[in-house]
Amino acid sequence: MRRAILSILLSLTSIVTSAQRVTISGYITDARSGEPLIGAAVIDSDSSLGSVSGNSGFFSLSLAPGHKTIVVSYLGYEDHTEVIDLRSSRVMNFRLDESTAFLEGALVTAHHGELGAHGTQMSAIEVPLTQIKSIPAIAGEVDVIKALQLLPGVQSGTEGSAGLYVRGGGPDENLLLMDGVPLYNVNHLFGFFSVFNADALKNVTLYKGSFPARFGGHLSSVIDVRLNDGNENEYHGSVSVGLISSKVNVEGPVVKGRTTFNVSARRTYLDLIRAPYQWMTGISRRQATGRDEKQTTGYDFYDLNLKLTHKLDNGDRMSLTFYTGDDNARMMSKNHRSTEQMVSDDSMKMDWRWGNLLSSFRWNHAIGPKLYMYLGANYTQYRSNVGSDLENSSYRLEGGKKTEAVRTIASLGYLSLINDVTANTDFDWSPTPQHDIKFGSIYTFHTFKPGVNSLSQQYYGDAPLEDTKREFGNERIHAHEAAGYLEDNWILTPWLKANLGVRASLYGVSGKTYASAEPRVSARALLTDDFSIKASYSTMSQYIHLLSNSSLSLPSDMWVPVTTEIRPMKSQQAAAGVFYDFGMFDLSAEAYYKTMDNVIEYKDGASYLGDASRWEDLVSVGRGWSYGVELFAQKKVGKTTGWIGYTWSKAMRQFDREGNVINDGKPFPARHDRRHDLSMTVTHRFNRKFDLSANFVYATGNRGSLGYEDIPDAKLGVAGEGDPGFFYWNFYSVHYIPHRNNYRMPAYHRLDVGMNFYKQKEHGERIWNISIYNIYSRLNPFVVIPDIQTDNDNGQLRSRYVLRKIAIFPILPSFSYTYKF
Amino acid sequence: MRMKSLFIKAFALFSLLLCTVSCEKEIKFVGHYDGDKIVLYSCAVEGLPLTADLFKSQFSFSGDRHADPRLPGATVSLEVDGKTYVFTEDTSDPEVTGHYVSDYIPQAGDRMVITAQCDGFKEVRSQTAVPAPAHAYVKSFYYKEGIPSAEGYAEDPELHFVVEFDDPSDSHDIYNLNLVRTFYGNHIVIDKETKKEEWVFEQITSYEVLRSSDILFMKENNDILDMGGISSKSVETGRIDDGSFNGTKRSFDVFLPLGKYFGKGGDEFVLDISEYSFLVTSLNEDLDKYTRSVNAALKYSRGLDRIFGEPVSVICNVEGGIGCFGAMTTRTIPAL
Repeated sequence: MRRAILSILLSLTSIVTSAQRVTISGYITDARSGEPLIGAAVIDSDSSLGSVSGNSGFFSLSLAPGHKTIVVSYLGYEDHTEVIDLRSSRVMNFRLDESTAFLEGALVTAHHGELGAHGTQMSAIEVPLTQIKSIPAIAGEVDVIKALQLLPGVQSGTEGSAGLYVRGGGPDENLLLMDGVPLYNVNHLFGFFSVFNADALKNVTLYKGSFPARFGGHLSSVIDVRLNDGNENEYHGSVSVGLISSKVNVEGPVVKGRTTFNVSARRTYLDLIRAPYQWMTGISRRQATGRDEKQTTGYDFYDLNLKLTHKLDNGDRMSLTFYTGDDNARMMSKNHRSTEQMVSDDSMKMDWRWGNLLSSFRWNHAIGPKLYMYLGANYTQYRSNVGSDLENSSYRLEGGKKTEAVRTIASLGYLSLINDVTANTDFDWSPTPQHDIKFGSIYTFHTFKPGVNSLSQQYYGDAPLEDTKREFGNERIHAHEAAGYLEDNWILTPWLKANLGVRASLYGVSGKTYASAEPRVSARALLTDDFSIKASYSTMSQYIHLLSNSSLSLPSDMWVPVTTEIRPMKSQQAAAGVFYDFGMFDLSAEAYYKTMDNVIEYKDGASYLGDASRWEDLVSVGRGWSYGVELFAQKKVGKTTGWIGYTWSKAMRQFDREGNVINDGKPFPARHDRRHDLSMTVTHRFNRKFDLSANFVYATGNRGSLGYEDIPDAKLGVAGEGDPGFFYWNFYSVHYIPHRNNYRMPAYHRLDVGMNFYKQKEHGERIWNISIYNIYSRLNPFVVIPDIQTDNDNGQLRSRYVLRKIAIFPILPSFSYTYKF
Repeated sequence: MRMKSLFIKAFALFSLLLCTVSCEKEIKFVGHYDGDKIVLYSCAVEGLPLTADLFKSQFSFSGDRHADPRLPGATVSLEVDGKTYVFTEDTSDPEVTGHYVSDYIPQAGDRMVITAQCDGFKEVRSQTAVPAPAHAYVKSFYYKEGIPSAEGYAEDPELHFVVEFDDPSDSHDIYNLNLVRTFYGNHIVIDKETKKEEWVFEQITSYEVLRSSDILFMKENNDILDMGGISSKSVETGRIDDGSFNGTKRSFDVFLPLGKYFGKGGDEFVLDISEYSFLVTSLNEDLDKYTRSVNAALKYSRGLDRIFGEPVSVICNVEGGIGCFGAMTTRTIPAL
């Protein structure tokens, strides 16, 4: 104990005495493209002191003067070793070559980044993009979020959806960052695809706990997605044509060695494929029915990524990131019927649009060899506009005159808008090899505009019969959010390392200010050179909520801020685990316990179309807790790569506060409470022309509320006074639901297989991808619904109550063609 | 090359065949169903003999959806202050079985335990307490002139009653309001012997339950309470929880838009309103929880709420079974 205290004191004094040291600093980049490498390790092999490059590839390492052997390593790249006589601080830039041995299965130097056995970071996984791109995908569309769903501790919503439920948290509790800027909706096609175009990505890291203090604002996870800067020496690109979408990616220098660009665009063409089919079926239907019918439906999405990066003489980098993506779903039908006596017209129009717009400017500046600054200004917007209009009019013709004209108009509109304007500064300071300090601040000006409008009107002639109008929200709400953080990744002794941090945040909305202090601690004890134990504790706060009708990601979901009544969500998470870097394998086992406060759920029977005029009246505020064990084995190098993950978990909710009672105040399982979750993914590269990959997923079914016991439900009625039955029971037959989420849907499992055929062409490489999603056609439930089935029993019609599951992806073969140049 | 072409053709054919795969399937219920249970409904009303209705629950997927759920032949007993009262089965109507009556007449303050046993079922047990009556009175009433228009009224004339509640006790009480009106009018009566319908002109007593009535509304401090729209009141409307009292008193303005009032019905021909009074009920907490959850469940089972609403679980207080053993006390307070 005395030795530990002594070493801490020595470490503290080392900051003060850092003047006796000299510093090497610089950038680590890919030798071919000049692309900065994030998380590359720089180590003095004599003292074993090291540093890790940041998001711009910058590193800083302070050492005692003398002869040094500096080893720079990064997964998938050749190690770079340089012997130097270090007398004074100097700038050293390293350019690493991609490893050819990597694919051949040779052992590559252990990755000394923060995520392995040597780092303090736990509950985080970096998924290699090569692995993501080789995973079999729905309709051939590679998807980052789908790949993350295969990791332990991460669960999907319903079949096909891109929702993420991390360690018992809800899908709104994930902070999704694109180049450090939050994206509020990451889903295309109702959640079946995500907005991340894999061609534009450089690095994807998922944090499920042990959150570094630099991240905040969401309770359950951080998904940090970094985009490619672009090749600074040559032009490269790819064109990919799939079953439902095509995409193109081009990157290269604007000014060689200085300014780069990276552009990628993607668009679906379901609407274009469908158009001639609709035209033909419309003609045949009109011929068959003789009615004047018109019906069109359409759906498309697109996204566009653009990144410009400029390198200044002094090594500073400036970058501009732009993203826009929209989904459009539309349906229109018109029906005109007329007889000699009657004329009727029906029309229905549905127009749903939703999407994101993001732009970001960053300036990365090395203030000195030990201090690096990131300055950013960002704008992010999510908007959805969902409108449906229905009109029906009919009248009788008597002697050529219109009589008994009835007209019904109904419309429903959802609007959700969230705009964030953000300014932030982040600093990396490495005063000594023992301390890697990060600090910074962020300010965000939020604007929300959630709203629901519904209108129902009925007229008989000119006389109104019914006129019901509901309005919910529709006002702009402004909120201010400010936060500051400080974290120190501190080597206390050669075997003990800790990351100590704190984040403080303020949130002001509607005249109310909330403050939060969030301590973050994680520690690693290195027991052998490749085996460590880690423990962490973190608290998080979240100031926004997502009001969602279902587990699908629908554009009718609305982001709303905390209010004077609905307080910020808070979570506390403690985790502990063992980590083993076993040659080419990373093995880990973690256990976690998490509590969540001020989580919201819809009240029993609540819906937007009900009686409430404020969203606060629709929800109850309560708490939740979850715990579980996660096992993970990953092989990142060699001909065969992949991982196996298993999670045992439990997620509960309780709403027992006055005015917020659900389920009579008793605890109930969360909708995504899944006991077992197993996923395996493997890719084997046979040779340079062919690779084969497969996924297997098994998960306990999601939960839902289902009445499976018929009872006569009684409702008190009032009868004549003086009668013994003054109050009497009215009996209705209902399906009794004893508690919320009482039913577990059937288990989910599937096997996907994919293969890639590579061929070198004159100007590039051609890749054919063939994927079969759900190869044994397991009908995994998208939804389970009760229904009445009527059977003919020897001429007698008998009805029975049955359960039906609806699956959307029984088996889905797909292919895509990619040409890389 | 030939292999490649064959492979692509086979793949295309395979893809076409898969389009025929059905994505909807009937599935078996997999879960824990712990057997049919006794469903007990009983409400102890101060001053009225206690009755109980017994049913049996049924597994929804058993296929026998039309079996009679009533449960005759059970033993039902009541325990109050150490004394036991046995219910007898009411067999007066052969079509209505499972109805049990006792000769015990509940009083305010009673604490009682009911048990029911029947062969093949687990015994059920529940307890309740009869609440104290509400301290409520009509403080005043007034008539608000309407605004006439060419077609009737642009704004209805309204009859207002100011109802005030006192809450001197510390206990948690919940109240409901019903308006009782007595009038002369036509209504249809079925002759017991001939089974024919006849129009009869006589004095009628009708009840307007604040929660569901479309002609009775309530205001507090000029805010209309829990009125989502004309035809769809909230399940909370008219529920007065003394936990919400600011101090020991709370006043409500209960009103009838008279234009709608006289226009109501169509078959009734209202000649004259002779009397108004309020029936104020005090509910115990179990009955209140049960009633609210059932109202919400019934609302959820209809229309768009079924699609967009959150499913509702019914809050029961019967150990070993399902149902509700609740209690209430009523008072009639004259109004006009």
